[in-house]
Amino acid sequence: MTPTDTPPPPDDFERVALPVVADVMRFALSLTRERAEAEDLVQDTYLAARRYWQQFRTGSDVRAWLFTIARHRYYRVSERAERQVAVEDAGLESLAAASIEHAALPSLTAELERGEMRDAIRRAMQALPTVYREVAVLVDWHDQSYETVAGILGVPIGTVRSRLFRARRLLQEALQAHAQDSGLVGPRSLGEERRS
Amino acid sequence: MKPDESMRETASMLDCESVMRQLWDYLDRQLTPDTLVAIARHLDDCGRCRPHADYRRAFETAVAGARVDAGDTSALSDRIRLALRTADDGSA
Repeated sequence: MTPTDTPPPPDDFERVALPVVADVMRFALSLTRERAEAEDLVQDTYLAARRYWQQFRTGSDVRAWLFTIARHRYYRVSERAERQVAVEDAGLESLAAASIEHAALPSLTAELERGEMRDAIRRAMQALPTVYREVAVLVDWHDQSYETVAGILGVPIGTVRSRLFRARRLLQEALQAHAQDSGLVGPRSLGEERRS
Repeated sequence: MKPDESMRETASMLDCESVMRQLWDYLDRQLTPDTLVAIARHLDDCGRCRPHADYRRAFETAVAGARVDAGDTSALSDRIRLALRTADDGSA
């Protein structure tokens, strides 16, 4: 549905917004990393969203709209907006990720395809600095486009791209370390990557 | 020159560095249709770049498969409905 300039009917809030509460909860969990705090954040988000309901445009993505509010509430309430310096050169990130030794790629690919690294991936995701984690979560766990994420974060699309690449680079490093520590791949094959 | 021949020429002009630089954008479908096709053809022909693409595709799939479940949110929905009613009563 194409977004319109028409504000939604006032009574439509619960019918439209509540069905996506699980998505908002998953996003809140990625921010807070703690369930009780995430539930408080989701409730706070819905109360704020209902106050701003007339600003929602009928036909636009209610999930993205709620994610935007949740993120603002999280930083406002917690007063922990991170002022981390993000690497913004996507080209460098992309090339750096290519530095994995060629011979190691098939075994790493096979390990990922076996699907047994789920817990390691979750730990690595939770360990990411927030500035990178929120982008990776929105793109890879909520299937949001770069453009939508740029809108949610209020940053240029190039910033989304570079933060996402950086997040994936950090995730890959963590998974490669896990694969090596678990004996899934040999240290020699990862030497190039771990030194970089 | 036929369109297909033109595309093959574009694909052959892409060097490995250019493909690696755009590989995440390619996997996330963030490029123009012409560039997507050109990179796909490069990957078909290039034994150096293809393993990187296979690895990153497997990585993306594995990350997507590890998404955290929100668990049962029915109690949370009830809690939110109650909070909305309470807010209504307070503003009435």
